[in-house]
Amino acid sequence: MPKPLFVGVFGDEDHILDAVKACRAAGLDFHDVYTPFAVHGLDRAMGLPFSKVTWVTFCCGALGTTIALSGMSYASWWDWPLNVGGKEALPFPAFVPITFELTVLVGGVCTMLGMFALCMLFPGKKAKMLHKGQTDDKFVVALKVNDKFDEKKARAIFEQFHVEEVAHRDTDYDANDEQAAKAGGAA
Amino acid sequence: MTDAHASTAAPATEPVTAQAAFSAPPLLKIVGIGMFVVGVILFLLSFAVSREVAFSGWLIGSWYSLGFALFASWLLAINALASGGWAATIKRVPEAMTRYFPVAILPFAVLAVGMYASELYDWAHPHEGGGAHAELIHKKEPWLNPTFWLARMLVYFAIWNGFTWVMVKLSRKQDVDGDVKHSWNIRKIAAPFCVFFGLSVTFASIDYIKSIEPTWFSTMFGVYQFAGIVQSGFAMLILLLLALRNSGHLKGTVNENHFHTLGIWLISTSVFWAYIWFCQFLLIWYSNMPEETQHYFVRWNGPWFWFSFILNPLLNFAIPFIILLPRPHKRNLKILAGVSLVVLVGRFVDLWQFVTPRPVLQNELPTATLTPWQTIISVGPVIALIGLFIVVVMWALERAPISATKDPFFEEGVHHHL
Repeated sequence: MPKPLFVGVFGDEDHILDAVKACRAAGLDFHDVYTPFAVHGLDRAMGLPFSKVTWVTFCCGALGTTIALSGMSYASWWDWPLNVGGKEALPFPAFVPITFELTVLVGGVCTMLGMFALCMLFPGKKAKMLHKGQTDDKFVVALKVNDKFDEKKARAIFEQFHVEEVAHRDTDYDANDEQAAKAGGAA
Repeated sequence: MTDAHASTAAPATEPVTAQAAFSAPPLLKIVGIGMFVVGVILFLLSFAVSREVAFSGWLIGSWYSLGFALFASWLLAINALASGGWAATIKRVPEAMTRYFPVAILPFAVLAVGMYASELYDWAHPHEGGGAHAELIHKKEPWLNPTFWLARMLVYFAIWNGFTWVMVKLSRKQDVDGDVKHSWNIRKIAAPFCVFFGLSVTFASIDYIKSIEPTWFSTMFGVYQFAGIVQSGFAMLILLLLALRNSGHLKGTVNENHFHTLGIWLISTSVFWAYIWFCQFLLIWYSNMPEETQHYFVRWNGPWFWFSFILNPLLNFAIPFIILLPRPHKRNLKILAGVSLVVLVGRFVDLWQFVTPRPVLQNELPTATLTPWQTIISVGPVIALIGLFIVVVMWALERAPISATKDPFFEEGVHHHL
């Protein structure tokens, strides 16, 4: 079920940052904001909570530590005690480099996978774009059209910060798809 | 340094009114003087244990406090080279920290007395009767002899003091005319200084500390000491900045974003220290060769184990790493201050467990038979020279405005945001 959106297209990162701050102050809800590059301070301006991906990193890093220590202990001490260079059977110092490496590897790879999961990205996902310029030189604010939404207010804020294009869209709209673009309607 | 930054500096012709000079909080000076007095009393008392313990403590203290000045010179140089704009608002503090170099000659002079008057440096005294150990020492005499040792130290101090003196002087000139060319000149000096710094810190750490075990081999010693120096340096810088902020200075220019950056530095240098500390141990433990293991043998077997292999990584790595991992903790000034104190204690433990126990080959030395707690009084000189360091930093801070407002990066530093 597509949800209605109210979209403003901007040409400058400073304008979009100010517009986002003003929209948040006016109590409008964001669907999302699309920019061709990371705009510093945008997440804070939108009022987004801190990313949960740090927890994925921490837990998966700890998992890597556990895998390394238990795996090596099992193989070289529990299952079949090995004598390597006359060291004790459970040589902790020798385990440290591999523990470190696996912590970093599992933590790092899972950070990437966790980011994909949190962003709902997966192979074969079809990219939908509200505006063709949003990966090039345009900055797009998409507001939710819900009971808090006030079109007059939103339009006034957008125009105050030099909006280039204003449109009603929905979440199924894709600027790359001509038919869907027609169904979604223009401004 | 782009043109956009250059344009924020005032043109050289514009008349400039001098900023009000900074007056250091009296409490900090009193704390510094008090620490110095208490520490010197502890140092004098430690002669009752033995002369070697007393001068071991002085060696720890003088290298410990010299590390702050070394750290500050390194921080200034890398920030000048990497356009570290965030540090422009705090750079007066590292600049003041480098003014400890000329003063550090005095603690070094006491150490030089200790070199002649005690058995601290094994190589400084003739070995009667020969033996394998004496022969090994004798072969190192062209490098390890008192005259050359003193001469090398003077060269190191001349390099450190000369470079930092010019960098600070150029920064003071920029206070007057606001000319960007001073920043370029500081950068031109910083580049060769980094090369001299790397070499001189490696050689100085070997001359200062490692030469108390002249028959021990470690190829990681220079970088190991460098790691400890930058780690404890960031802890000290954080504490100095917090003390200045709590007494009402640096209000509009240093905020939690700057402390966050310093917290990132503190956790990453802690990890770096642990990496290097463990690397040095692991390779020696694995290859198990007598000329390398002699150092670790006395620390692995016996009461020093708890200090060398438990307390040391706990204070210098585990506690800072786990506590500073979450983002909000790096922005919480109380947590940051607590972790910095832990790191400073850890730096003492690191040097203490290195300097005090002697390897089995030198078993005839008095300190070889002492338990760790019998030498805890070694902390005296550390307290004394941190006190002296704080007084010197406060004195140096009063020579200039506390904010380098004419620095081309100053605006960027004020708006630093993480």
